[in-house]
Amino acid sequence: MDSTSASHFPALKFAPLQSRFDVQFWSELAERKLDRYRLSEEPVPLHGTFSCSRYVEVGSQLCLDGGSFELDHHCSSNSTSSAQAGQHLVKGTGRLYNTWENFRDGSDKAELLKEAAARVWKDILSGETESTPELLSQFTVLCYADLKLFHFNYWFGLPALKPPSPFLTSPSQSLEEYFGTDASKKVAEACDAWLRQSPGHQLVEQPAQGGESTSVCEMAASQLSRTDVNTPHASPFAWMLSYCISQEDATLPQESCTGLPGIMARLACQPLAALNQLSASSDGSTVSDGSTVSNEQWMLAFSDHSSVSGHPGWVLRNLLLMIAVRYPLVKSMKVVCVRASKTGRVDPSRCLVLTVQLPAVPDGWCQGPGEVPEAVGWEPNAEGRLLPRKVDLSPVMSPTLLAEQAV
Amino acid sequence: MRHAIHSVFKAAAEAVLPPLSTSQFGEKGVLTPSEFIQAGDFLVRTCPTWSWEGGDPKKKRNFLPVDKQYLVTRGVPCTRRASELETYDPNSEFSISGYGDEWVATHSDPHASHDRTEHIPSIDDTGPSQGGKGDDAIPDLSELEIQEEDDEAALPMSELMKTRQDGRNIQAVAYKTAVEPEDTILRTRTYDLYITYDQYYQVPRFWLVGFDESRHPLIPEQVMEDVSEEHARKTITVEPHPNLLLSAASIHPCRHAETMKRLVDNMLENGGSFSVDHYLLLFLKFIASVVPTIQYDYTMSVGH
Repeated sequence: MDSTSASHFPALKFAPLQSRFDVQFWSELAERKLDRYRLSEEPVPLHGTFSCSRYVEVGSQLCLDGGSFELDHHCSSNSTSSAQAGQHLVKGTGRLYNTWENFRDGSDKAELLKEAAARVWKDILSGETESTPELLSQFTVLCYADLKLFHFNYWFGLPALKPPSPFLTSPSQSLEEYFGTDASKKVAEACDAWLRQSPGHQLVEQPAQGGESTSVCEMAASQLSRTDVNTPHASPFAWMLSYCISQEDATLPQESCTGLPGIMARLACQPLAALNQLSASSDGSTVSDGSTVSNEQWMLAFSDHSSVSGHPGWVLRNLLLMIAVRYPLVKSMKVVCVRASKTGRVDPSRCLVLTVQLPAVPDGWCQGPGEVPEAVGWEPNAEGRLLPRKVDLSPVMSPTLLAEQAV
Repeated sequence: MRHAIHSVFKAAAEAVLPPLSTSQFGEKGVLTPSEFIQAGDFLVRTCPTWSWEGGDPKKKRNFLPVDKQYLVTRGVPCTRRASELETYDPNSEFSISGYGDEWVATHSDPHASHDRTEHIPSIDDTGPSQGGKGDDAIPDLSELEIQEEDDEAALPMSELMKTRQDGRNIQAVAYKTAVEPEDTILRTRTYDLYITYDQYYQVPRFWLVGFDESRHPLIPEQVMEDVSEEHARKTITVEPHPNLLLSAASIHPCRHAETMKRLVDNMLENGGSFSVDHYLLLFLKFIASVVPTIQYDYTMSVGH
């Protein structure tokens, strides 16, 4: 892809990952504020989970629930969220203010988002995000709870670092359009297997359609050291997909408009760290040195929470920036936005394939001490303004109302 | 009042009586806790949107494994209110047509809940997070607005929340709110659906926890709008969730066993087979008639 044609591509727009705090979260917060944190306004570690989009009507959300406070005890104790396939962890920090005034004036909001962004940036530069992709998304929540009225005010921010120039993209295709029916099914199966690998979770073999072997879904789970993931949650939200077009199949009728044969020889999902294998090639897709194993193709895959056609989810932003910063030789990247149907299985007709042009990142860009790329990501309120949200939970939490209800 | 007394009685009975230990799903349509686990495992394998959770450790039920206290599926969309369903015909519900009247009747007083539903404020005026509007306690909210740098790479919120009536996303191109006729914009609620095990009735129990389109929790009365009218006034009760610290709308399980028994019998009569593994799949098909607009997947085939 030369630069003249790249300039015709539109800038890629991302659908924000929306936060969703359930009643459990607030009741746990109320209890902890009273019994444990008391007057402390120190940041507390939190986490939430999201899955890939499963419904056409609405994107997947970042859910914070009663277990969101229990990160450290996750592995050992019986906290709310046990190991769940298909769920991805997003960690963050919560600040629980004692008064409305502190919530309003206590801290510089821009500074707080910048702090969260700085953590992400540090992890990108150190290469940490390649072994632990969840570090690419780190949120900040500010809360003020009026525990007498059961009113909760909060502000959620998930920072996205802005690249030197926007990511550009070709028009998206569905996975089905891109690979053709048969091959896209195999890719979807491989992604399903990746998403559902989880310690203690039984991988279910689906009967292969038309007697095809499913062994092409070569799992790379073993390559992933469990200590890297350090949570019982399922696989990282981003991974690499590699496949070869076998030579003998090249003569088969070409099924897809991109000219790929309908059948792929070798298909594997690999941890994101496999990125380093494509630094040798300039466009991240093909190495053509003439040898037989050279036609290996690489695609970036991620669990896409967005349900908007043509637009990937927010979590891809920092991921793409990481690749642009860490692998400057990779100029463009094929991205599979993995989405499922309402059965929970990856649906080739909903998955998007994008060809993203990565911006050139100048050497040493934003790498000086204290330098962080600009970050955006405060969540707007229901009216679309950058203001805090408020939840009134007196109907479900107030003891007086509950007592009335019980009669 | 009858309901309160019954709740106390039920709690006492659960404390004294041991959980069911011999399998009786064939004769009575009930499940033992281990059969609940077996059927739940099957559901999780068949339909990966469902998963097991342990819930609040303080509310753990001892007859269920710590990490398999209940089943949950989150963020299920619900684009229409049940009353808007034009084609809705209570008599066409699933395969229990003709039995409908028998199983929906419960001890709750239909008139009482009827009165209450009429006073449900619409979602527009309960909108919770409308910062500053008419909120005396928090006067100067708009001063708080953050001036964030323009972000050309973010899709505006308005484009995320709007879906067309046919369920497809409006393309994110030059969208003008002012021209869009009101009725093509849907208010998409989402639901967390829970299945717990009810020890007293020895059947699964279905719970609905809803969120409005701006992700504010719905109060149980608002949830009633998404339950078919037939059932909203009779079979749905608001009770404390057994594993979580909240009250939620639930489909009262007093007739579940009978209904399930009948569904299983129907299936066997029609020459199918049925194993306890499929119990929850069948249960979900039956629940789909109560909550017709919530888009969870209940299409899996059962009994083959």
